[in-house]
Amino acid sequence: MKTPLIYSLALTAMASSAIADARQNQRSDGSYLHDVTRRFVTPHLDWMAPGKVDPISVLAITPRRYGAREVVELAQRFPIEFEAVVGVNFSNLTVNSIYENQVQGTSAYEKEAELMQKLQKPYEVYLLGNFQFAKLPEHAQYKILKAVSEGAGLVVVYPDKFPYPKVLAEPTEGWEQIVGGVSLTALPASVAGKAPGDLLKTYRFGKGRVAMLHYGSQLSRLGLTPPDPYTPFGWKARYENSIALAGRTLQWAAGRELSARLSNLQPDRTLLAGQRNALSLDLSSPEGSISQLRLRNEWNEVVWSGEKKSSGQQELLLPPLPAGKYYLDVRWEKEGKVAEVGFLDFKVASPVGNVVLRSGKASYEAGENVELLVKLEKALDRKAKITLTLDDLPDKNRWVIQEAILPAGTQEQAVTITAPHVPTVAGVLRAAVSVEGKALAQAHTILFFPRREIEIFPTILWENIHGELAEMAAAQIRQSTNDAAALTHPGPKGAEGRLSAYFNQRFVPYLTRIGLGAGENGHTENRFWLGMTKEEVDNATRGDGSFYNPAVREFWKQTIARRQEGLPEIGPMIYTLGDENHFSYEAGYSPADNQAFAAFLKETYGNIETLNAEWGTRFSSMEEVGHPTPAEMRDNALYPQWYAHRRFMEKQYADLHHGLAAMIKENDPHAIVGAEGSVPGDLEQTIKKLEFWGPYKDTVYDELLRTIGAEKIRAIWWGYGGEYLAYPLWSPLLKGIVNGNQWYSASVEAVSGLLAADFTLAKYYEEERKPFVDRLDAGAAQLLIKTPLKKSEIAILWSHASYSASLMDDRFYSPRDATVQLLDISYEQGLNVDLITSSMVEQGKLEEYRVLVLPGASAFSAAETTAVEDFVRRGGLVIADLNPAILNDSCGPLPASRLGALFGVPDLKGNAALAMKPVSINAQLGSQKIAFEAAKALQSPEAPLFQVAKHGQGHTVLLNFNLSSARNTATTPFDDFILSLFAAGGIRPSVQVSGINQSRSVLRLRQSGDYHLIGLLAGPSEVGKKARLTLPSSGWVYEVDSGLIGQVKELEVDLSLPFRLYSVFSRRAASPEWSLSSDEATPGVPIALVADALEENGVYRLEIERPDGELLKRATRVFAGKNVGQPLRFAFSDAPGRYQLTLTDVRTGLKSRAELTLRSGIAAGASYEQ
Amino acid sequence: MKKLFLLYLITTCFVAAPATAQIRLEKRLPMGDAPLLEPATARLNFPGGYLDYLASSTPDLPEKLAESRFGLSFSRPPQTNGGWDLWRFLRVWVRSENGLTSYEVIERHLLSSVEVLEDGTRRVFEFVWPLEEGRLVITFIQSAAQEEWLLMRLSLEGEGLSIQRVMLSAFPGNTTGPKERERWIAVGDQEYRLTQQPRDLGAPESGLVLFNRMAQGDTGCLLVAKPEGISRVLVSGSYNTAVSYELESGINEFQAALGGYVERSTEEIVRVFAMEGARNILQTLQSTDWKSRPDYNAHQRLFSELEALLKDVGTADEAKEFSTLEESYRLAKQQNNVATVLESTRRAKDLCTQLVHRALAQWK
Repeated sequence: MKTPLIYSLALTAMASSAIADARQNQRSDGSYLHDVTRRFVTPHLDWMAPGKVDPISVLAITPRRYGAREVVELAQRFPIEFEAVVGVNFSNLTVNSIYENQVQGTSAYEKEAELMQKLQKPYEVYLLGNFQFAKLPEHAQYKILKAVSEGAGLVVVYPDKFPYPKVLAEPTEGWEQIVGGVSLTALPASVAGKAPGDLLKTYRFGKGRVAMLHYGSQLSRLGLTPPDPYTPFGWKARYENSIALAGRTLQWAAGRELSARLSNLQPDRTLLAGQRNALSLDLSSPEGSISQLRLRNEWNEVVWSGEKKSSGQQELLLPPLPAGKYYLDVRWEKEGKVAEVGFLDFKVASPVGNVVLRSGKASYEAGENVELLVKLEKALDRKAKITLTLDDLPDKNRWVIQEAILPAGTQEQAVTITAPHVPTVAGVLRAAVSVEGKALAQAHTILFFPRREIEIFPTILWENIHGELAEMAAAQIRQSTNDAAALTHPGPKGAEGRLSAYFNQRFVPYLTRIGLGAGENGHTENRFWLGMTKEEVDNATRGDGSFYNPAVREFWKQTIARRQEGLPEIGPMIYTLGDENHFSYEAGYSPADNQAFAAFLKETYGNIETLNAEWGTRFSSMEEVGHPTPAEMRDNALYPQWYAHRRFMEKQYADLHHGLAAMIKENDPHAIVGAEGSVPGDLEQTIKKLEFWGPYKDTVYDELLRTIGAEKIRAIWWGYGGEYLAYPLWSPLLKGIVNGNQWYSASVEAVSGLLAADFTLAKYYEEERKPFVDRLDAGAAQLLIKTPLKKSEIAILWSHASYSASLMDDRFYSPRDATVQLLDISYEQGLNVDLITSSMVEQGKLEEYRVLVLPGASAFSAAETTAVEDFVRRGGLVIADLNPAILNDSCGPLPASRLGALFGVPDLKGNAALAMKPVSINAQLGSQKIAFEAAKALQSPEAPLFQVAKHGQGHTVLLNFNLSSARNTATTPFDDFILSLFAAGGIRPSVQVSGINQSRSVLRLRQSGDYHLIGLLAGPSEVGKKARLTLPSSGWVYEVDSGLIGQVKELEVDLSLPFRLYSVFSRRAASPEWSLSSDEATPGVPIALVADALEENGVYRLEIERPDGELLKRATRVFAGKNVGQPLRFAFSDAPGRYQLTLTDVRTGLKSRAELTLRSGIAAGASYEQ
Repeated sequence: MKKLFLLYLITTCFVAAPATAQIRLEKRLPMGDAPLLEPATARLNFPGGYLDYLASSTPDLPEKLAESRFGLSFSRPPQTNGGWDLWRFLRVWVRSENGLTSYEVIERHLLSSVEVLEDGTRRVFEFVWPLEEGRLVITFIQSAAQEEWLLMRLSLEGEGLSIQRVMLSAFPGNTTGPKERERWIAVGDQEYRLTQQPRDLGAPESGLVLFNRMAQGDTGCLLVAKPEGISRVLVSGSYNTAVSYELESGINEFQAALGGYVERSTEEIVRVFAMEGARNILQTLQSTDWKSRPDYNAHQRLFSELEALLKDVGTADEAKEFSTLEESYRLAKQQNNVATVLESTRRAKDLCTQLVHRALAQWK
């Protein structure tokens, strides 16, 4: 890393601070968007094992999503040596966007340079995998066509209108050679019905060959294969066929002769299940080759393999097979090398006709019995056995094996599977019908098993696993993230949710979005009606989009129903009502609004007398109040009216969220509903009936959410580029603001995609994000979430009324000003503080605190006044800044400040304008000396700069200046000034940090019983330095999830990792004590974790090692206290043998182990067949 | 004034880049006769920032630029609009010999071309503004070894023209800020609070630190100008910070280095910059070779490509043109005449484009 010149010359000590800036400013490494490597290997069949055959050199030009991965999929199966140039999409190598610009290699000239450099080399085949030839730079077009005219091959998949008709002037019959070895009916339905000559066209151009695979619309987003909607059953088998056809086409284009023929000579011959059948084949092999045969079912499982030495027409005797569709692969091998490959499909019919496997419902809650009906089309004259198996998806661990007898002559049998345990969102239930050990027929159905438990620290990714190359992407995402859920739009009838379920990815549907704007005359209109047409919206709202319009409410209901269809059965983790939801205070004037506004006033004030008293008005009736426009209120300084309208719109915003949540819950009683990254409105009101809220990164509202939304799921998106290490997650987690991780995004994209174009992990994520996230997932995050912040004795009032008032007039100074400064200091000094609301003050919350700060508290209720006066009398210290309580809580005028007398300034009215003046304080507060100097800050001429008053047992302090200006212009330490004020209230930091610049650092103390958790996040400039932590007294200190440091009072902190967590105990900690209910396990039988001796404030991680030494990843769990969660269970498919279990106390890193033996599932009396 | 228009012309004859990613002639914005119906825009990205150009005219007065912005995103604190001015970081006043006429170039004239001349160990960008009597060429160099500095040279060509004034604008920290924020400038060990009233700094040889006090105090911009020809420096601004270099009569070149810092101690920056930082970057500026370093290997590849194209689709006239170009290139290379080398390669690229068009046309 380079350092700026001036530092490299003189300030080596500052060099490390350059790291953060350099990273923030430089364009990030773009290899993940450009490079196509073979590093990530996905499960695949061997067609022409690369390495054994002379490779074909290929230049592939294809979209980065998903064409790039398809090139790798091809290279896994066929011997190609490739270079790849990936474009942004099928018609652009690059696009100019603020996101793309942040990544290297994404500009037009960089991408062209890459392409032209790669074109310096000759290739045997130029492969355009769904990229428009005409969109290449003209010189690149010329070089490619010239190379083709001189003998190279050109393969265009998804050809658009090809701009050079003369290249296609000489059609050839080459396509017959290509399709001669394959059966097109084995391809996806989107192309299976096409005539071969339509699907594949071939040409001679000069000395070269051109092949075009016409797979339809370029919008398919695939590069080399035809569109095929994903299903767990059948997709992978067809994908193998599609990629084999691509490989065969490439071979032809490279000039390899394709002479093999493969076809079913009697496609109409009926092959019957349960017996040996002969398949009549034309198996014309290249001279001297042997046909290696492989038979696959629709699950892509290889069920038989063999070989044929003879060529030409012949019968292939098949093994007895259950009914179904099969694929026969042929690899023609000559002298140890595979020369050609082919495939065909055929069907085996059942003597019992179709088998129907019907489940009572599509979705089962834990503990519910699964009721099934197995029905044959034709009855058998003999007794048959039905074997039912239930496997999870996508790993296909087998959780149920159950048999039933179907008496002779009967066609159907009801079966109950009692409370099956399936740990994934979806499972596949199969029924196999056999007679005397011969499988005759089979059927399957997919069932859903909603996962209702939400872990302590959930992870949510933006975007789910897409239908294209779903299994490949899922393999990477599942292995690289911690059981992450996915948030995206639900798709038609919940299709995206179902797709996620197939990969055990819990779903967070983006169900709708709220954006209340002002239409004509201030009529409320919602700007986002997802899934509804404009005509439908116009018909329903008729210009009045207020949520208080009954027709609109009904329309919302329809919208929700339409978007929610198909989702309840998969059990979404959370329903989100949108991101960046918002509303306008200029709205709220439609007819329904005006009616609702009148009702709102009536409900708030009851009668006109009360309203007049609060507002300082003289209306004769409620009707006379009307609903002034924003302009009228602004021009006439109608503060109470203005605030009333704001509250009305905030209420509508909240009511809309709550109303939609209720509609969702009507359709899905298990629903957890909220929104994320949205405008708060009156946050306390907005989130009241929601279970999930993702805040924006906002110092004040984030802290407020921590206080008032402690029980809610809370997470902030990160991953937008320009970020450093895991700061955007570390910081809010340490502060207690979030209890979840939301990463943007799971896709291949600039600037923050998780996946690289080739489905490896994006390098920046793999190296600079994932290691930290993994450590958090392993228990550190859960420990932070489960250990409460040490009880704060400082309360900061968040007065929503005062904040609203601050938007009206400069005299009503913004509460944000001081709150932000105080929070900064609290983070840096390790002093926990709570933001509390006006309603909490009115409800007696102040009893819990010793110091109360009233920042910008210009609007104050009578009840608040009483509570604060009482607080002071009882011994509390109250600190206020500019113009406290000069308005009532309706923002109505008061003759003088309600708190004036309390602060020793009885004449404070707040009428005078604020002005910048120097600040100089040298005073005594009790026994505490208070001193501070600043160049300037806003002050009111109506009060002294610093005023102390004593009432009863307590004190008040009026700081008649704004804290942000004072802090910015301070000439003596501002932090010391604030700390001295808190000290006067008896509160001092208990842990000291030294040796680093504490600016932007976060120190947080947590406590549960006598257990203390200390977290330090040093600012980015301090990375690599050493800090010193001094505790109030000596204690047994452990680094979290690591081990004992010692019995110390001081410890050195190595900030090479800037986020550090330490546990402090009064005595040496012991390893966790626990046991299992049995040391022997049987598949399907639960084993309890005996956790009576575990500590309530502990967080523990259980890991299980399989007999082969690998981690049984699905079994890893992190839990708190004795809440161990579900009993342990093993699947029938788990390997029998000794399993090692390790329980780690995350607080200390101390471990204890246990062992158990898993007996074979087969011994349980059933057979296991994968 | 001629009606002009700009368009992106991604070069159709692209010289293949070697492993060091040499890039040449990214785009050319030729002068034309049509009104500027769509705004002309150009953005050049480089590590740490970008240069941004936008110009537009209105249907009513198509011959005049209604809007013209030349912005620089550099030394920009994250999530701010601070650092160098994103809209008008540079303004250049040109005067005629008799001193009677003077105008600001960027707001009056339309940029005619942007070229990336190098993109290897150095990034060299050249912006050209045509004037009635000549042209203004602004060259930016960023070297891989010092990516935190952007070197800039203004070169005015034209009989009787000279640069009168160069004004640079920045928003150290951010555009917006609290009321108490004060804009300051440090010249050596002297620090001045800025107001709307310009302060005359004389002709200091030191570099300038543009910073804030009372808020946003840990970010700022750095500026070092080659002192030759500068008669005085005026600084002003409580919103943006403007540094105006007044040049002596007859000067047609100006050089400066632009930098900045984010989240550092301004006190340290000012101290180190005054001691040696500014002096060192000035030395860098003075020793900078502003001539583009031609990539002869890439040129060789270009001429080989051309030769092959000529064989395929060239005419006798084109072959002759090629021979002339090749000869002129060879001689220029021999004489180390970089301007002619570059001109020859530009013309070779044009010929290449022409031939590629023709070659492709045969298959249409």
